[in-house]
Amino acid sequence: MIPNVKMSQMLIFGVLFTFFMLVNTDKTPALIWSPNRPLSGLSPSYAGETIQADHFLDNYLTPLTTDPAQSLIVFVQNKLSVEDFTKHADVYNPNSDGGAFRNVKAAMDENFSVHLPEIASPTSAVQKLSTSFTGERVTVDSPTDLENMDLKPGTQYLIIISLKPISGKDEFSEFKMNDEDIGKCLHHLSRRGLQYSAVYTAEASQVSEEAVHSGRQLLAAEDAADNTTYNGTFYNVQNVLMYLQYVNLTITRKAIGAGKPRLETYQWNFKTPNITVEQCNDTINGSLDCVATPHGDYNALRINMTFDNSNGTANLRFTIKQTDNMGSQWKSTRGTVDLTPSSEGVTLTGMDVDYNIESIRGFCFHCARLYTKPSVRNFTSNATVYPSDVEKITLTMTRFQIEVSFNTSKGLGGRDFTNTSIPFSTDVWECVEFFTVPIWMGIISTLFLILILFYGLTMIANITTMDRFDDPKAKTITVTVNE
Amino acid sequence: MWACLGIGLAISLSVVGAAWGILTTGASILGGGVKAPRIKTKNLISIIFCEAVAIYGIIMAIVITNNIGSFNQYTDSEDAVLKSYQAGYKMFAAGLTVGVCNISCGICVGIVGSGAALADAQNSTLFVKILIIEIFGSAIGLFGVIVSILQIAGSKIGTD
Repeated sequence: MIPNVKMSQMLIFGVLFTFFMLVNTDKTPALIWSPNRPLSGLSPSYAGETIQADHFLDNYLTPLTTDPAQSLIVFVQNKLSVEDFTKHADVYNPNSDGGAFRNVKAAMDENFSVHLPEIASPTSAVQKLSTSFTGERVTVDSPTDLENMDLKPGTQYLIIISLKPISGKDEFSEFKMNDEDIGKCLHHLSRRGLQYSAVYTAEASQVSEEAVHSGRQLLAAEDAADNTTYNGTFYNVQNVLMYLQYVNLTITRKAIGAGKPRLETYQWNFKTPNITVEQCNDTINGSLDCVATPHGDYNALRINMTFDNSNGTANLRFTIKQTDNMGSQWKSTRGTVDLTPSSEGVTLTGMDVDYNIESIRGFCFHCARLYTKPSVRNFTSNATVYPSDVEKITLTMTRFQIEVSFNTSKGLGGRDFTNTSIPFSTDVWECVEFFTVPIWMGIISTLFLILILFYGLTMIANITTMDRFDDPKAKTITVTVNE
Repeated sequence: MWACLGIGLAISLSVVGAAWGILTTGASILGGGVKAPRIKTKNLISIIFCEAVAIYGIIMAIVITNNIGSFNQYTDSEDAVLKSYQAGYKMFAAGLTVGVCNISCGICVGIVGSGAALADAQNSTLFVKILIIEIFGSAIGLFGVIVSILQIAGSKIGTD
């Protein structure tokens, strides 16, 4: 029920909702007005709703053509968007006359009017209407053509007026010219005594798409070494969903003589992964009883990944266990990694590795940069590392995301991954908490400085005039000034 | 962050204490010096006691700064990471200790020095007696420095 709502209010309303949406070039607003036909029967447009072309045709255009005495005029531009109204219609002035859209604003204010902020491809609806229209169809390119036409009042017309295209060089004057054309057309129509409803819309909004940044950007990963746009690969392996971009292994060895410490780096991508997942059950003595063939009844999953490239081969094994019998929470446990370099280098066998991979039922785990836990970073054991001059070994996984599900067969929740095209759950358990340590550092330091500032301001506010030696009963001091 | 906050507190609180002391004493010396100009030179000793407090602060700040290094919480060994966190907290504590001790010492010496100046203006034999009180006041600033050096001993952020 939106008769006679002020155009500027609706424009601001429309602007607020467009701001929060990714702008699609096909969605444009439409303004509908009629001097004689009340438009309250048209269904209202809900906040943020994009009206589809069919809906627009059925619920807005067709009702306007049911009355045989009522014509429909459609002004079609090449480009119109709510941003254009904001920029050129002088919306922030309470006494505005509409800026470049003076006639349109006057028409909307004085007549019955409806504003639809977002319609997907309205011109296709107009075309459909024009093919099914029973009255007289008129297509006009300029208002002077309309002037010269012989329009009889009482006949139902569908007049489609193509306004001049907006090229973008001087949008204000182009909109103003089109607005004046609209004003002229309306004037002609009212002079001939035609009963009409008018629609002002466009083919596209053509506003440049803004990149909507949702979420926070943490740990911007350096892509310096990677010139291709490889972003990671998604695999569904025996009911474990996994996505991984790279695995990096960096080994720091002692410096020879007086040089810098030597670094051996490996980077494997995940394009052709070699993963096996075994379903396991805990046995009484604490070890795992694993079978390779899936049988649906498991409370742990052993994941075995092999990475191979020209520099060497690595084999990473870890287990994911549910922490209770319900499968509502799962965690990874300590695993091992083996490394066989293809040329001369450090060989690792059965080296401990432990990640903080954990999540809850219905959530996947994601980490942009996954590092090992501090407890396994100590590499003084010579048995697993050869040669023995290794100082530090770092194994990190870049852009890692995993989702597992327990107890699907028992119907206790958990998602069923047997369909290989199922995507990750949209709920994510991030490895980085919302308030990271740097954020807290900034907040605490700033708070401390603000406290000092407030203390200083308090001192300034307590400055008073010295009145210890003022005596109200004594004579007031007078100072004579010689001009 | 903790280490740097400690350093900041060490120097800033010490300087605030010294400044407050000098403010109090200086105002009294100037006021008393109007009627008794002989007090001016002798009472500068009180100002020097206040200034010493600020010097304690800057020495501690420099000592603490020397122990700051860099570490990577994701790739360093557990030992190095824990020691670095511990060192950070220790530096914060050391800075806070010396800062709070010095701010109170500075204010104390300032008020006593102010009294000394005014008493000296009245009666010049009183000055030496009040100076003894000032020396006691100055000693407490030194206690703060000693304790914070003990706190900072051996702790280092980072492994290099």
